[in-house]
Amino acid sequence: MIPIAITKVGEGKTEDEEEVEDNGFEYRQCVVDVVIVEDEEEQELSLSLKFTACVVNGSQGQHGRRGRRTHSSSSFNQSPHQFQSKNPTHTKKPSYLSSSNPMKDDQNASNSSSTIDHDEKGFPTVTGTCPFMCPEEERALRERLRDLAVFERLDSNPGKTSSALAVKKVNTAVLTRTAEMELSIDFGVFSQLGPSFCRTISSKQVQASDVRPLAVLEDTLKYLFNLLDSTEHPFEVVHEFIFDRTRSIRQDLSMQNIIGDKAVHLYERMGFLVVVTYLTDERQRIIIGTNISSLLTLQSTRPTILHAFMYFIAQVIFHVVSDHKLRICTGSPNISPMHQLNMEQLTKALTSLYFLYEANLNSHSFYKNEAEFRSFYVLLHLGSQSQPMGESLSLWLRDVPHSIVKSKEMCFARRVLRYFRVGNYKRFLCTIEAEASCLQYCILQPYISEVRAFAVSCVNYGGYKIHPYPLPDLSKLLLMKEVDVESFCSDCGLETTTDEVGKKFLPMKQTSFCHPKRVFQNYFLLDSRRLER
Amino acid sequence: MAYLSMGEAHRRITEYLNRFHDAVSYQDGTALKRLLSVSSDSPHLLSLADALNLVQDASRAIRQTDKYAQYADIILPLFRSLQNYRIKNLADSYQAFEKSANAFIQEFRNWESAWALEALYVVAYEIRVLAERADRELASVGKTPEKLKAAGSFLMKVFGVLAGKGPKRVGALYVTCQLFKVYFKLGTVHLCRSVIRSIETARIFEFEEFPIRDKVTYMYYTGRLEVFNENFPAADHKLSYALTHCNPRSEANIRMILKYLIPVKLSIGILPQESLLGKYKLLEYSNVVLALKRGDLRLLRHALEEHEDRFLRSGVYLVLEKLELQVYQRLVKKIYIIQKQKDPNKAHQVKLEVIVKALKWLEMDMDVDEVECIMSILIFKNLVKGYFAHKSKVVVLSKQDPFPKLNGKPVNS
Repeated sequence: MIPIAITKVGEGKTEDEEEVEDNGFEYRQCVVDVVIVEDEEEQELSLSLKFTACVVNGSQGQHGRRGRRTHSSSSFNQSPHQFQSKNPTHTKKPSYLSSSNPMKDDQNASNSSSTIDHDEKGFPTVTGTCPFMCPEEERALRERLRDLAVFERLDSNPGKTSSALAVKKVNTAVLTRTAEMELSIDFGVFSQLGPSFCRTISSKQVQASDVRPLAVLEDTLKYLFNLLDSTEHPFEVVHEFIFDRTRSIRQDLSMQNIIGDKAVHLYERMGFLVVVTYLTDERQRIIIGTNISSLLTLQSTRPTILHAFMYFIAQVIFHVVSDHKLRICTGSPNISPMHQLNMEQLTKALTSLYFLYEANLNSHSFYKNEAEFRSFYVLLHLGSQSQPMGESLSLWLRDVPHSIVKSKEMCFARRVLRYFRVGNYKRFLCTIEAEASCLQYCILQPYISEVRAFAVSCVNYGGYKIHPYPLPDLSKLLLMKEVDVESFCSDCGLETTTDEVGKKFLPMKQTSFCHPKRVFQNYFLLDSRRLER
Repeated sequence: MAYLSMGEAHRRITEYLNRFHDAVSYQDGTALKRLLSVSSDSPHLLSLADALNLVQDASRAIRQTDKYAQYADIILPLFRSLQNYRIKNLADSYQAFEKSANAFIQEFRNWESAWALEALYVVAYEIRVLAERADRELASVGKTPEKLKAAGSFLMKVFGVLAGKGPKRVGALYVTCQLFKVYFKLGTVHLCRSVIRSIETARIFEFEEFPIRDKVTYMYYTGRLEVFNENFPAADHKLSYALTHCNPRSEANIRMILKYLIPVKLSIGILPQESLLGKYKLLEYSNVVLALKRGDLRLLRHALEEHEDRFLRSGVYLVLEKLELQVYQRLVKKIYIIQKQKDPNKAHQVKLEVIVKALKWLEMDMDVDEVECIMSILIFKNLVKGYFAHKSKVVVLSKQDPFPKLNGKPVNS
């Protein structure tokens, strides 16, 4: 019985208390503050970009989870204080927005930046003149240093390449320092989201002959696409190369401040490329491919949003995959700084993606993707419920639209969350094995290990002393191959025994349990036909 | 509306100005505050608004007379705010009020004692309420609702003014609570952190000195934050404080506190009576409580599904989901009790098959492996004392206290 005390003092709260959910009109406003910090060596000014996204939700949810809004010029406002000069040409929309066919070639020559030496803000932009996929200087340097990727080598000679093979690498000297900066650079292409010319190039460091103009970039991308079919090298190598080189294309694009139809096409194809390289399964590739191309032919009133979607989806996928790779390659648990950065990037990409979903009021074509991408958020934060400073999932779930909450992917994520929090290791592992998509599985990897360790410790703690647990049963429970179970147990500080007929067991009530410090690749793969790569 | 003459209109305006001047001169906070509560729809202010709308420009009247002119910066925008409010231009009303409030704060700083604190409270309150209404209006015409956010910034400023050594500092908690309300409504709950830190760590603030009303509100909101972060002992402490110090006649407030306190109490094993739920209209928890009493997992799932939206919105859904373990514990306990009645000597051995059957009867489909898994979790988390024998598919319960109570502590994570 909850005690109700009688107070002596007759004061209560003010009568105006109104709960958010009481038949009220609910709204939420998010501010994303992207601040770029100056690099000491750079003398370029930094800009900060602030944009606000607003969503209005009707609380009944019957007429769609989004209210009707008149299409204003931009659903994002930029705060006027943030920009030092307000030049009207910046807010001019690129020509393709007004044309009915967004896929038409860009006829507006002035959109190409190759004739502009200074943009309106007074920042010098570079005008690329490099005619090759890789600038001559870099090619010569890397030949000397024998820093050539396998695809770039002439006759497999690590010290020889050609202009047909060498592709410009990501320039780390002008590499942006933080996750925010990278994201905001990409934002700059999608001018509908608000002009953002956030670059930290110093014109002294970069020469025009080092930067490839748009036409060359298009050819480079075509070349990279063709590499996809190369079967002689392992997947990781191909992916690594393609990803680095497409990132370099992005760099060149943003350095030249190329916006407009063609640039957008490039971005979209790069996104596609990233997605496709990730999916080595032919069938999956075809499915994603047709989905994407059908999205592309959609006549949307906001073609840039479409491309932005593509791009962020690709980013998310990239980060999920590279995190996965990181873990496998380094074999270390999740504490490394690279992992941190990756997780930050991933969360930011996801957040940006959610903004776009909410801003895109008319089209429901992304609904299917949205559910899965929202589910990622839940899966990423499985263990964060009791972090005092962490983003509480309870809070986040409050604001998710009803239709998403009910979607298959979100329901999956919520069930997995429930199993994780309750500790139901059996259902946790079974459900993932049976239902997780590729990407969801990648995200869940670290938790799978954690849950397995928990399972072993529970079994060890509660099991009957006289009956050691047969390893085959344990392997079925943990969805691991039996040989892996053995080494996993030993990583947990537990011994396994073998009886006279060669059957293996885990004795119970061992006191030496500890959480495994090293994590090996084999443990990750759930022993499952469905998820086999 | 009755016919209003110019003369009468002027008279009303002058009367207000006199009242204002007197309130300030005699340091009458109570009188002053009544003159500022735009959204209260008081007959006095409404009639003043009508007068203003007729006269249109009261600035001459104010500036001509010295004793009014000194408050022109406060009063003129306040008049505009009233006028706009009257004709339902809420966004403009807010904008004007904010201007007036800014001027008011400047004056307030100079007034020495804390006589005007009540008036300040009204200003803070109005800022929030007008902003909320303004945003609603903006949203309904497809514009960006940004006033509430501005109100938040303004209130932070006010907080800064009050955070000093003088007697005015007892007002800080009221402003904090207004800020909480703003942030909760906006969903930017993480912004509460900084103001909480100021209240709890700054040496100038002595928590007990604050008025009881504000302490209750403060504990309510910070308690809710603890619920979101699943710090149950802290949540219990804060929400219980709010409950015990809350006005017992204020049923609406008690209901709001209980809405969050009940899931917390459930998580530490304390169940409310049905009569309590009925009295405060919290019947959505009814089936949850029943499920816990009966060990009925199906009922728990059903209850969560039935009120899913409500629980998700208030942020207690995940907390309630976790009660599952206690429901399992209860179920196994019932089986144990039944077995004890049949054959006390063998009761402590519970076949997993029996549990599977019981669950099947509850329309929950679980195989023996999963039941073993659940049992091992219950044992690990000390909800059940005993062990399980994998080979014989049996749980052997301890002869002493096989189902330890939670004793006010949440289930071990």
